[in-house]
Amino acid sequence: MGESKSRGELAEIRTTLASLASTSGSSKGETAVTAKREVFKKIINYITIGIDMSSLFMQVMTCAVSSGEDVVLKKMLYLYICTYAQSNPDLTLLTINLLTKDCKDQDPTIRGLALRSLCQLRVANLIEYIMSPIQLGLQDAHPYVRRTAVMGVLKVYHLDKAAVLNAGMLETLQEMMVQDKDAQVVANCMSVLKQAGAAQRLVSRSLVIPLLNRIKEFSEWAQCQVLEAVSGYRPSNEQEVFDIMNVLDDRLLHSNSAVVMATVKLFLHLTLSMPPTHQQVLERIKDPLQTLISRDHFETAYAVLAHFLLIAQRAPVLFSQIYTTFFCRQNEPSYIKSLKLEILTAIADETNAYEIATELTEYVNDIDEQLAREAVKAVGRIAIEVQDVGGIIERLLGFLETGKSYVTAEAVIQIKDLLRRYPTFAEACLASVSSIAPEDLVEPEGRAAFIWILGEYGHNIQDAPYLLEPVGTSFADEAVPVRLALLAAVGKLFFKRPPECQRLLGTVLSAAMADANQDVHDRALLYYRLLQQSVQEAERVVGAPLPAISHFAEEQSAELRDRIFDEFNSLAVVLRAPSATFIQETPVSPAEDVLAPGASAETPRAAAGVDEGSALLSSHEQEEALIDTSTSNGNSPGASLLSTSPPAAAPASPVSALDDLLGLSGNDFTTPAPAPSPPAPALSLDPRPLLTPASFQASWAALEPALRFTHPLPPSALAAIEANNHQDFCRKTGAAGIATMASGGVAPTFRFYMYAKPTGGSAMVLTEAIVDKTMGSASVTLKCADAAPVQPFAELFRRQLDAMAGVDQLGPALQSGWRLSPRSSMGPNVL
Amino acid sequence: MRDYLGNVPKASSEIFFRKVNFWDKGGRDAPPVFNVDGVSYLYVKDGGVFLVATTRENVSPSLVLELLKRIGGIIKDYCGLLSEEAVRKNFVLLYELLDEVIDYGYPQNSSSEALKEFVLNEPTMLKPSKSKGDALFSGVGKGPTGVIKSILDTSRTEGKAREEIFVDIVEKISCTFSSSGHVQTSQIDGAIQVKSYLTGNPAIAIALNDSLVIGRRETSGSVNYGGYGRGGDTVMLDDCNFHQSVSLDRFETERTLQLVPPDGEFAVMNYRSTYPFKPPFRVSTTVDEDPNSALKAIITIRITPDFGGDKAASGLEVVVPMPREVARVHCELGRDAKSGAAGQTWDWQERARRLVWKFKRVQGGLEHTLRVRATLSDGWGPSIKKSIGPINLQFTIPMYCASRLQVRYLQILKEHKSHQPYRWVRYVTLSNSYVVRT
Repeated sequence: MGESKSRGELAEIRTTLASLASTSGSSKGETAVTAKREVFKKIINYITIGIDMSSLFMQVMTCAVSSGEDVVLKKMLYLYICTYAQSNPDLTLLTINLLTKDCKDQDPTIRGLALRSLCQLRVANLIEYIMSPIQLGLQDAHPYVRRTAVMGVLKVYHLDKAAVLNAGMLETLQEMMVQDKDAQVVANCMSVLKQAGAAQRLVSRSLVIPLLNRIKEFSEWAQCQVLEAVSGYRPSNEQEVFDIMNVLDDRLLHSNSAVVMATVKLFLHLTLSMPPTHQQVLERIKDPLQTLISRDHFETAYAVLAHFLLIAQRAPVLFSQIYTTFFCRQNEPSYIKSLKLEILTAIADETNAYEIATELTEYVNDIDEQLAREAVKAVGRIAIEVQDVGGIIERLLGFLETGKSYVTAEAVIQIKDLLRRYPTFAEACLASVSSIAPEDLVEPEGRAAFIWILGEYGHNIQDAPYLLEPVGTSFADEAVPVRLALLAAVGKLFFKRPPECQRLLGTVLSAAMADANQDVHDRALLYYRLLQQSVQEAERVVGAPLPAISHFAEEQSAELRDRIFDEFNSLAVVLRAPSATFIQETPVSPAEDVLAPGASAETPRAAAGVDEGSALLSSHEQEEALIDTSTSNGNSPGASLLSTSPPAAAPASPVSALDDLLGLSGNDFTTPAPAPSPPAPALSLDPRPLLTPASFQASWAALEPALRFTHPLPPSALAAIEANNHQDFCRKTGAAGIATMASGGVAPTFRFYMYAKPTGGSAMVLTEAIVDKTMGSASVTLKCADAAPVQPFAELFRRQLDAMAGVDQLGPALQSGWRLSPRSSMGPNVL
Repeated sequence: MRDYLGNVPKASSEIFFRKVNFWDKGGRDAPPVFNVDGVSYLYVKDGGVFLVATTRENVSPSLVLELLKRIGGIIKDYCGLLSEEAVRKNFVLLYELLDEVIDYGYPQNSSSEALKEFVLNEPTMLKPSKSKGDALFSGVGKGPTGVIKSILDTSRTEGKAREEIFVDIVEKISCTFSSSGHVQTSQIDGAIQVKSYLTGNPAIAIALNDSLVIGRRETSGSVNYGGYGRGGDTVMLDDCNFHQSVSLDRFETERTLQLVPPDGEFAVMNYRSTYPFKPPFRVSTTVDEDPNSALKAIITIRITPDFGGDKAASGLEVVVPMPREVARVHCELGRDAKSGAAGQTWDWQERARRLVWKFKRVQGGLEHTLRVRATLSDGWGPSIKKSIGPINLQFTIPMYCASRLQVRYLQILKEHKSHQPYRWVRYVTLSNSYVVRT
């Protein structure tokens, strides 16, 4: 229906246009122009709401040309042409004459307008017509035209780099940047040169100093650009640093947060090697930044707050006195509140922890459930980090009695983490915990935490076995983490209070061994066999006391934060990941521009369904890669799962005897999965390898594949890899020293280009991993100039892939030397 | 709506809406910056309109968000207001504006003033919706000026439009009271907003209190108490920032801001103060067991407006969240002798579990009381008292300034004797986050 309607409108407009074009007589000139304006407005309205008006191209042209002097009409015509030029390159050719003529108009506004439209056509084969108007525009007397012409250079550059280089335009811009009187022209020259990869030309002293001296002439946006460019400049001595900062100090008082943030970045980076001054800078920026977050504009405040968090994590002491700034306000959106809670957690110390925890306690009653949870979590974190301050654990325990199931659940999780870190607090906590009824805890994570506490401290909790019993009865209905936790808890408690737990252990073990989930099933089997072998031995293994955890891994490592700090005042800070993880840069030579793929839109990349990352591959390689994937088709996912288990797994024979014993014969399991992995091969990786996209591409093209393999992945691993837009996966591998160059793709296929540098060697190991969800596997290609690290690296990489399956549950995380995150601490400690 | 580089998917606007509407299962606000498949989306929401930018580069989020905010401001300056309707009615004008503001993704000319030269289409003005009510300060929390007027008025319709300039001191106060009635934290976030419709762009001077002190608590002598209670006229601010156009030459010595105001609305100065001030409203609550019924509680809420009787707050709303145990409520509106209950209403929003007590107008100095009889599902218990609240107030007080910052004079530095533009200096205090814990 919608289509027929729009077709009707199209026909109506067509008729109107035709009649208006013919009545271009002089007598009715005035009214005709008004009528034309109206119909053009209508067309533009339709375009905006998504109706295709391209078929009117000819009529629109004729109609407009006959009233060529009307500027309002002209502007709308240009808008129309620019919208449809790409899809109608032939017709567009007809407009070139009109546009080039207007480029020589008397009125600078029209000259600029025509030039801007001309450069915006994005039709590659029309470039020859564009070059000379740009050249003229660059020399125009009016700054408006020059500004437009400078931007035109960039537009052409993206279409046809050679044309710009051959015409020597970059050199012209270079000169204009120094000489032009108009600040916006200078700023545009800077943008273009930077995009054209000539950024290094911007950072000489002779350029920087004059720019800074006239910074107030620039628009606020151009000021940001100047500041950004200057941040690439390295002053020759400390005095120069002070001079620059003195000149720019009043920029911190600007009401535009973009200017302030650019200045802050410059100051912080200039003083990195001058610690006392750096500290002064941090003190100096505190107040301006606070003012920026206090304005009632939440979106800009959000960007500033994200930077606050980054700084607070690096230098928490700095903010410990101004903690009330980060108290939530009732009218703030949730994204601001969440960030503030994180900042409060980061800056909590002995001096303010009590006040912060008191304030957070108020948020626990908030109607926003998520905020309440985050507040509980924050109090838990503070209790762990600032353990000397009294009254905080009491608050945490108080949350158990709010009567809101989600608050109780979150609080139990926090108490569990607290006990893992400080087992001595058990006495203080257990009374409150044991008064919880399991049915009050609905969420699996909370239930699992509760069960863990019962298992670990059951000897001190009178009712522990009876609290666990109902969970055991409903075993099959519980979520996997709860089942695993229950197994572990009952296993432990059995050795502490055998008479009360024997029956429960029996129930749980038999239910768990019939379980469809492999982890549950395997762990139950392990317990069973241990018990079969020797009860004493089993007690030694299962019932061993847990060592306290000395340090919980933070969500972000310090290294990662440093890398993000290098990208201060960029999206990396807000998205909390180095730009390499979210910018799909096609690794091209640095002079090539990152915008190129979109600008050279004549290749319908997106339409072909090929993602940006695959531009890396030459076409035949890509085919090979696809074939490679398809070979893994022969492995059924189930069978291939087995190959993930380490080669040194226990032999299968004794198991079958037990199977019979249990009446489980005929089952297809052969290897107990939780067996420890073999010791990691002696391969250590540089934690922060560095490689430019260009050299990655060059090496990738030059090297032959050193190893190819297809690695099967269980659905949980696939999901974990896909989650969070691959960032979790890239972060995890990054933590293991495997950096990501590019990642991307759309389901079901994802591509990862990664690199790692073995310590001691010089050769980088380059990796291409194509993860195919439908196949349930990853096809991995390794390239390396040196053969030695390839095999150990392949093993390491396989482990990384496997590890994704265990991110939330149990996994080889412990063995491969990861630090535990608070949330994954349930699983591995059982063994 | 405008694609400058053509390097993001055509469907990006749909992707954006899906993400924003279903963020975290739809319950929470999407953060203003997020990334989907390598494309970063940055948005600013204003007047019910999303202004969105997309990029594949690692840009400065502050820059993009400020620019979007500025574009919102430009639309307001040209169309009088920013709303879906205003955008729809002015597509062509907005294209014209956007093309001048941004070229190929790079900000060019963002001053409403300078843009006038390049813009040819006339705005289609909308009548402001009457429902917003309040004549002088419409739309609590948003801009201060109720004036809906395009900046094109002065230049296009010479002679007809009024020459005028508005200088508004807008203060948003955040205040949290502890259950014992003490102020726990408080802050004033203020701005001097200027909206200028003067032809010929004369320079203006805005003189502020002589006794204005700007500086942090640590550096100023008195640690605990600043302006309030000190008797003197001193106005203490923690920090402030200024608009690009402001010259500070006379600020240090005379506390005078000099500037050539560009057309349109902008903040000349933003400031922040954490020094104590006199809160305009005091709230006290008592919760007692009903002597006549074990299943009822009696809650008394008393509001004391602590400002002069010559001023009045408009649109006061007292929101009282109630615990689950409260099944029903019945209220009795003020029996206070002088004020009566005129212009007051109460509304029990059962689904949101909150009681809203509304006033059309509250005159300074006159106390109001609300007596609530709450029916409890489980009967009286001491925990009831704790689980009511926190009470939250929303209000607007015209001609009231919490920080006592003042414009001593507003001078238009133009030589014409016949030229007498209208000059408006107005004050308004709005609640930002006014929370009374119980």
